[in-house]
Amino acid sequence: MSEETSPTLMQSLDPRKISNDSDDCATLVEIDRSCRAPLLIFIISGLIWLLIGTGLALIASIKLHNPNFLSGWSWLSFGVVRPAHLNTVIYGFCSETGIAVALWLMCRLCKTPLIHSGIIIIAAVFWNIGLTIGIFGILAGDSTSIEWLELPAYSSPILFISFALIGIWTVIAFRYRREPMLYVSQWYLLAAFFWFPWLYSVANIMLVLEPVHGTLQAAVNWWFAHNVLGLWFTPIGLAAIYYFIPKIIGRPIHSYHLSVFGFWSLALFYNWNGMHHLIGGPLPAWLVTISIVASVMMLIPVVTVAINHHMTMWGHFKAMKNSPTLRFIVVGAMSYTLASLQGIASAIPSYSEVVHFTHHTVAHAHLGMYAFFAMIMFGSMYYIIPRITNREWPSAGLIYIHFWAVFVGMILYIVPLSIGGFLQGLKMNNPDVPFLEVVQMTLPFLKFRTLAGLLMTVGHIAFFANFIWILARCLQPYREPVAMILKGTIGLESKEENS
Amino acid sequence: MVFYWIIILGSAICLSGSAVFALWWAATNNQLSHPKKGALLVFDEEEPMGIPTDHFPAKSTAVPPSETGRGGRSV
Amino acid sequence: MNFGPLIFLGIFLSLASSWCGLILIPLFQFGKMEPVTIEMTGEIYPQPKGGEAKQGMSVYRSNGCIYCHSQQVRPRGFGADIERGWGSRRSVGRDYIYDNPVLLGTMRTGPDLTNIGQRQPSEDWHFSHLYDPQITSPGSNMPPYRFLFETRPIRNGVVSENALKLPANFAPEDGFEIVPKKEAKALVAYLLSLQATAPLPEAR
Repeated sequence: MSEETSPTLMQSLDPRKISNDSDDCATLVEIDRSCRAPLLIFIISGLIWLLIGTGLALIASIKLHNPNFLSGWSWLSFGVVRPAHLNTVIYGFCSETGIAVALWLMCRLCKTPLIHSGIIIIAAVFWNIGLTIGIFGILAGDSTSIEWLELPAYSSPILFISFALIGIWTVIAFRYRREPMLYVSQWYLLAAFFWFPWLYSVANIMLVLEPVHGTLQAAVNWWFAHNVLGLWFTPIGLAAIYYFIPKIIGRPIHSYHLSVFGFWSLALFYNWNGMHHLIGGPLPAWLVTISIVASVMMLIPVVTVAINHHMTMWGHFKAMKNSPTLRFIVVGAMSYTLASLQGIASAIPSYSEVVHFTHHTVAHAHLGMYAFFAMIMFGSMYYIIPRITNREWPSAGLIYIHFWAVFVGMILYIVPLSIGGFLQGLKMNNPDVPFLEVVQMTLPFLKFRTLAGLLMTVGHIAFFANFIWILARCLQPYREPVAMILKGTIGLESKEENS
Repeated sequence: MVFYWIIILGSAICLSGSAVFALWWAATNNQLSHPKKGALLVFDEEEPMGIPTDHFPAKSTAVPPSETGRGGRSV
Repeated sequence: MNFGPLIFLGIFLSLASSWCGLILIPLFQFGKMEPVTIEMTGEIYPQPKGGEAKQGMSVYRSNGCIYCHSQQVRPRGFGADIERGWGSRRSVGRDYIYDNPVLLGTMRTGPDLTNIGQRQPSEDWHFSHLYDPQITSPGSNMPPYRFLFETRPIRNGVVSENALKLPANFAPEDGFEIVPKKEAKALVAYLLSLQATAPLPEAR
């Protein structure tokens, strides 16, 4: 990437002044190197939020079966720690690593280096300042008690500024792309970067800054909260799956037709789903009914994506043994299918009648956000970090620990809690069972959840240790073009490098 | 009750209709005309199709060295 | 080859459709719902919460009570909310027109609170329950909210009027008493105000 082809900010706003010539594509090494500083800022802060969020999750989980645990302080009470956990992992870990992965995918697929990295760095700083203020606000008792929008009114605008900057950058990167053809991942990313600011600003205005009246708040709330999953995290996760599975096994996606069809059906149906969180609630029946229909229609994009990914992987499942990224990505892709099917089931009134208001919903949320999205992010980072730092992962052992701890942990979390929640719902719908008996019945499942959470914590610490180690290696003098080793183009020498 | 069935069926028809429309739009706008080419965008001369690109650290000995992609690219 | 604008249009229209359908149309339909006069009693329902109860709502909000307690009664035949005694009728939109935020809730780790003011009308019960739920509901997994109370020495041998009357195994050491802070008083005032029993025609 020579100096004269790097555009000024004004030039990048006007695509006529720049070339869309595909002969001009940047090399992978150039792209990865240009991503280094901005991505590392997002990844480092994202992982710190992950550790904080994990700690908060453990406290909240223990409190549910041992209510006297740390009960003396208002800022550690369950109703404060739980939203603090949700917001750190959603807006901290998932969004920040999600942005990092999205930016890298965008650069790779546009075949252009990450230009104007200053914008991204400023955005990252704003994002973290806004979120830190917000989390302290929640702990201090300023939570709005609006689910997924708990960040107080003095912190969310800061996050919005940061997001607007990233959105502007995305448009610039997209217009400056050297590869005129679009890959399906880019569709998902463009959509996500357009949808999220819209959702976030509308929801904040209609609920926090100038609240609407009555139960309409609940409608806005769930339109937003469900779409954060469906139109922000899901597109980023799917974009990563569509890139990494073909890239790692060296085989194109099974059917490009299906991937395009999957995109448009997701765009059409997912954003109508939110009201299924209000089945039986005090809202007009037509509103809830539309969402139930749209939720069932989600079968189309979900099955499409599942078939496509499965057929791409067909015959290559052995590759999971050798590739850390592929392990996480394939587990994440399968969880996407399962999470969607569970979500569709929960939207059907007769099933919702039982599982609504129970721990089943909590298990479902973790199947979606953790087993799907977080796994995809872990996998993507295993691929991206060595390439942007030009260093190899220091320890294969820590990768194994990370994978198995979170994989087993998430199964132990989701399966028992889903069953426990279902049984809880059955008992709750039987008026002859006293309420305290229902509470007692859930306790063994909640204790088990804490154990599963401990296992996941071990995995997160292993990942963080490996990450700090690779950062430490960056401080040592550069010895070998490791990107080549990663590609398998240098053979035996890599062993010496590692010892 | 009949009213809700009308809503359910009506919205199902509208939603399916728009899905079909999107598919038709994509088909008539060449979105589907070069599917193979679109799918190949993740590969390039540096990392061509058929070569796995990710390994556990120090386990990359299985793949033979190749001369492509060492810096710059030959067009 | 550049379908960017068309893709963008599709992306825009998809979200715009649900925004119109799920937010704007409901906004026109019930965004400005008014209170009504109940035929039988002649009173106007609902009434905005005043003074202490309003502050109590803020305590409820900042302590995240919503994460374990819902405030919505599902209709008869869907769940067992009415059979459990959580309400005499289903909740309807009009019940919430003065609430901000609307605290419907999505979780029932604890019971529904739509009518807790009617179900547990005793102030003392609520203070004891908040101080330590095990006093009133043994086996509950609700955390104690002792930070809403103050432990202080008994002055001149006279126990304060508002001191908690606790069973022996929960009582403080001799010479001390437990009194609710103003947050606890506000919260209890709010809980006692939670009664959605007015017979609205749309809730039949």
